Amino acid sequence: MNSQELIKLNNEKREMLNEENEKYYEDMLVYLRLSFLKSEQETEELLNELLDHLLEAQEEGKEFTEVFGDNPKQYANELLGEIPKSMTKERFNLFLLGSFSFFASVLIFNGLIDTIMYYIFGKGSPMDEIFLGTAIVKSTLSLFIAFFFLFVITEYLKWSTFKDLNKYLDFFYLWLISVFSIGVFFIPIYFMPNFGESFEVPVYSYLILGLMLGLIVYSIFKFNGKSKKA
Amino acid sequence: MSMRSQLLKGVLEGCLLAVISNETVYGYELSKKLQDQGLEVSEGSIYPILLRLQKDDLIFGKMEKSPSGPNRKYYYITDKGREALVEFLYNWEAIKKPVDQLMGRKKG
Repeated sequence: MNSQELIKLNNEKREMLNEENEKYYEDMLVYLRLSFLKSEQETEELLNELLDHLLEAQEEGKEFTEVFGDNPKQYANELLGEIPKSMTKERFNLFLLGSFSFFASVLIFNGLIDTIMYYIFGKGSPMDEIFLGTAIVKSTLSLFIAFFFLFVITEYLKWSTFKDLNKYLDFFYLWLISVFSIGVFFIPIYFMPNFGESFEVPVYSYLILGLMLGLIVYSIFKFNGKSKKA
Repeated sequence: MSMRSQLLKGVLEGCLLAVISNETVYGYELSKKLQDQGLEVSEGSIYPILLRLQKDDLIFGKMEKSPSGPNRKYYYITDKGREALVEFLYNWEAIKKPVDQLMGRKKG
């Protein structure tokens, strides 16, 4: 079974857990899945195994803590320490997929706004001037920042699982992280001087480029799913 | 970590190898077998050890259909695992007797 099939199976079986066991189990599931650098296959196989065990124990009237101990986070860390790391190729694919998705969404978003503004509301201009040097530095920098914040948010989520955080406090923390990250994003965009060769492109070309990137991401996803099944 | 759990950790590795070398089992079954022998460990504690034994190539897991239907991960011992088990038994015998004697002397 590949990881996608295991995830599906897990979703179905999880519904048989009682409320208390489900809460604990799902915390553990989130915590283990947030560890991106571990082999997905191994992680899902383990999650499936733990779920089977918990379900059998539940039939005997046992609770999660009776089976896995009173400190689920420490237990999860113990498991994580033993799960093999994912391979470099897997990591590279994940990085590529992440970067492409990021650029695709930025391009589509910008292209759509500029195109609608000009062609529907008659504001702005149909052409945009690109400075090659600035464009390269800005894209690299924003990609770097995006991955950094992905890392910060992942770490925050890992920190907040297994904790009964107040809903409002949780929201406040996430809001703080978002505001901070958006701020850091815009600093290089607004304050970087233009340099390098410049040329003009129509604003809708961003939209086209973004959609093309999106299509690539989509086909990689589909292809990956298929090749794993074969 | 308590002294008891530290002591248990190494011993448990040997016990898991012994059970798996006798028969193929899946996780839940394995924890039941340990409990049946009177080993009082938390059921979940076998999973980090199973992962470690797999990483060291002493055992391997295979997803198979179980008699009752669903797919389960069954564990098998490897040649390397058998060697490790022999070594464990040798070390265990070497420790067991002197420790028993020491404890016995203290009790008596």
